Amino acid sequence: MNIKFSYTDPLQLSETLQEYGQVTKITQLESGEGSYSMAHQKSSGIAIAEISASKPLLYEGWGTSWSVDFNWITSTRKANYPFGYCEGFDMNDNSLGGFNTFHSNPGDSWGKYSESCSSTACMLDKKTLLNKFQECKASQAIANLSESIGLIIDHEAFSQLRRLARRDLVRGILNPSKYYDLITICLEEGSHKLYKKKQVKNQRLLGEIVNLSHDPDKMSTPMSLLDVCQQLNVGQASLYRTCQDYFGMGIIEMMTQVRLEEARRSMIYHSSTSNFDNNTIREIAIRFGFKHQGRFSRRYFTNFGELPSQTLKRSKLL
Amino acid sequence: MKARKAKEYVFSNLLGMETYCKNHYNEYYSTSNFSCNITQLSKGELQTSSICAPINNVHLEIFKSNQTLLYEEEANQNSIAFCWINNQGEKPSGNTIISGHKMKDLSIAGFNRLNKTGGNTWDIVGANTILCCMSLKWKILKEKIDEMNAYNAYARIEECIGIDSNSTSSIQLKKLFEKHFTKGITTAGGFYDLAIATLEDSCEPQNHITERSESTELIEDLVKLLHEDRAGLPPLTIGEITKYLNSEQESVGQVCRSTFNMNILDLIKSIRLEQVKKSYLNPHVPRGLKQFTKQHNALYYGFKNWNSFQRLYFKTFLESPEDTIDKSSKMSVLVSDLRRGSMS
Repeated sequence: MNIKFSYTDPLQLSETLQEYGQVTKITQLESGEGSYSMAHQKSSGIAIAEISASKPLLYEGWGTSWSVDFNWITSTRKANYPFGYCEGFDMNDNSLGGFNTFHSNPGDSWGKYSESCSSTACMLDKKTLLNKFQECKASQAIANLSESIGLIIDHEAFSQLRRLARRDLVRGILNPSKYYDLITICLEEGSHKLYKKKQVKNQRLLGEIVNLSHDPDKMSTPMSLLDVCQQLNVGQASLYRTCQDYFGMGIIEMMTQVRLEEARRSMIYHSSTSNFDNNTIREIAIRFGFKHQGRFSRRYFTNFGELPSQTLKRSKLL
Repeated sequence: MKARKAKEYVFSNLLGMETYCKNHYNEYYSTSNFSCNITQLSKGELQTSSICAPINNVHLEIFKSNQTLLYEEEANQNSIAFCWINNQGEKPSGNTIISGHKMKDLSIAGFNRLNKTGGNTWDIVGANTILCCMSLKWKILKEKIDEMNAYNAYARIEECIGIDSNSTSSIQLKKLFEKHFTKGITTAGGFYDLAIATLEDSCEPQNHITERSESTELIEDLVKLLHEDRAGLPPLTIGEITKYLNSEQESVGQVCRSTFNMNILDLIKSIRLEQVKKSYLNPHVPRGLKQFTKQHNALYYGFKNWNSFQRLYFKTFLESPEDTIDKSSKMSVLVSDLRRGSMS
C-alpha cells in the first residue's frame, strides 16, 4: 500500500504531523505556489515520515515528549551547499541529525530543508532507545546522543536504515526493533563533524533567530533591525551573514515570511471556528505586526497569490 | 567595446512618460511586471526629460522636470535603485524626497524598493531638480554582497531608506556616473562595487541615515491608497483613510503636510485631477467619445461640479479639458540620440 499524499499547502503537512504529536509550524521561505508530498507510517514505539517540497521549508516547534526524532535527507538533485540544517547541523547525504530532541523540551527543535532533497524523520521512543543502548552497552551511542546535535555516518548500517525506512513507508512498519538496532549502530559508529568556533556560535544564533521569529509575544510589534539586534545581542553584519548563509534572505524578510504564515494559519483557523467581517483581516494584520491592512494584504498577495479575504472565504467553504 | 549611445526622451504629458517607463523597464527587467503612477503636484505646463544611457546590467538615467512630480512605483525584487540630486550649485525650486528621505546634496536614496516591506515605493522630484538614477539588478548585487562579505550593506538595504554620505565611495560613485555620461563606461562592475561600498561606509557615525519607520510606511500606504482605482471611486473621507491606515487623523494630516506641503484633501484632489487628465489623454479612446464622456470621467474621479472642476483643471494645467483632449492625438514623447559630452 503506497501511503504518499500530495498537499497544496504547508498547513496540511502540519496537520498530518499533529497525528504524531508534532506541533510544528511550517513556513515556506520562498514566494510562489509550492507543491508538497508526505509519506508516513507508524507502529508501536516508532513513526516515520518523509516530506518533499518544491520550495524551501522552515520547521519550527519540532519534538515530542515521547520520542527522539532522528532526521536525514535524501538528495534529489546536485547542490554545492548543505541540503538543510537540522538545529544548525549541516544536512548532507551522510548526515544524521535531530539529536537535540533527546534532551530539549517538546517543540523546541527546528529544521530547514531545501527543495533539492526530501527529509525523513524517524521518531523512536526515548525509553526503549535508552534500554536498547544499555542492553548493547553502547556507551558511545549514549555519549553521542547526549553531547552532539548530529553525526556524519559512513557506516553500512545507515544505508540499511534508509533502505528500510523507504521500504516501510510503502508497505508499513513490520519490525520496529530493527530501527532501534540500526540507530544504535549509527550512533556508535558515527563521527563528529568538526565545526569552527564561529560555526558553533552560529548554530546557537540560528536557534535564537528561529525562536524570536516565532515568539507569539513579539508578533504584534513591527520589529526594527535595531530591536532584533538588541534582542539577540548580535551585530547587524553577523546577523545578516548568518541569515543569508542559512536562510537565503535578510532577517526582516525572514521574520515577515514567518508572520505572514502565522497570519494565514490564524485566518484559516478563524474562518473554520467563527464568522468573520471587515474587521477580521485588520485585527489579524495588527496581531501579527502589520500595522496597515493594505500593506498586509499586498504583501500577503505577493506571497500566497491570493488576498486575505479570499483565504477567509475559501477556507470557510472548505 | 564602445558604449551605447545615450537617448533623450522629452515628455509633454505624464501618460506618455508612464507608458515609456512601463515599456522601457519591462524590456530592461524582462521578468518584472513594472507599473508606475505619476502625478503633477505643482501648477503649470509640463516639460519633462529623461536621458537614458544603460549598459549591461545597469540602467543609468538623468531626469529633470519643470514641475514637481509625485512618482509611485510597484516595488519589485529584481531591481534596486540609487538616486541622488545634482543641481550643480543651484538651489532647486522644490524639495525632492526619495522613498521618504529628504534629499540634500550628499544624499543617496531609493535602495529600499525591494518588495520586503510591503509593495510600493514613492518619490517626489522637485521642480527643476536634476535627479541622477542608477538601477542595479538585485540578484547580481546580492551575489556581490556575499562575495565581499558586505553584510552591513545588506542590512542597510532592508532597513535604511536613505543616507547623507560624504564617503569616498559615494563621491566616486557619483563621479563614475558622470564619467559614463561624458565618456561612456562599458562595464557594470564599478557601479556595483561602489554602491556596496557606499552602503557599507554609511555605518560610519558621521553619516546621517533615515531608517524605515512607521511614518515612512504610513506615507507609502497613503500614496498607494490614493492611487488605487476602486470601482466607482466613491470620495474618500479622512475618517476612512485614517481607519484604513490604522492611524490618527492628526498624524496622517501632519505627515501629509510635511511631505507634500498640502493637506490630505488637496493631495487627493491633485492625484484625481491627474487621473482625469490621463483619461482624457488615453490614445485608445476616440476623440469624439472622450468629448462626450468628459464630464462622466470627472464625476468618476469625484468631481461632482463640472464648472468648478473646469476652473481647477485650468488653474492646474493651464489648459482646458477640451485642449487636453485635442492634444491627445499629438505625439507626447520626442526621442533623440545624444552624443557623449553634450549631456552636462
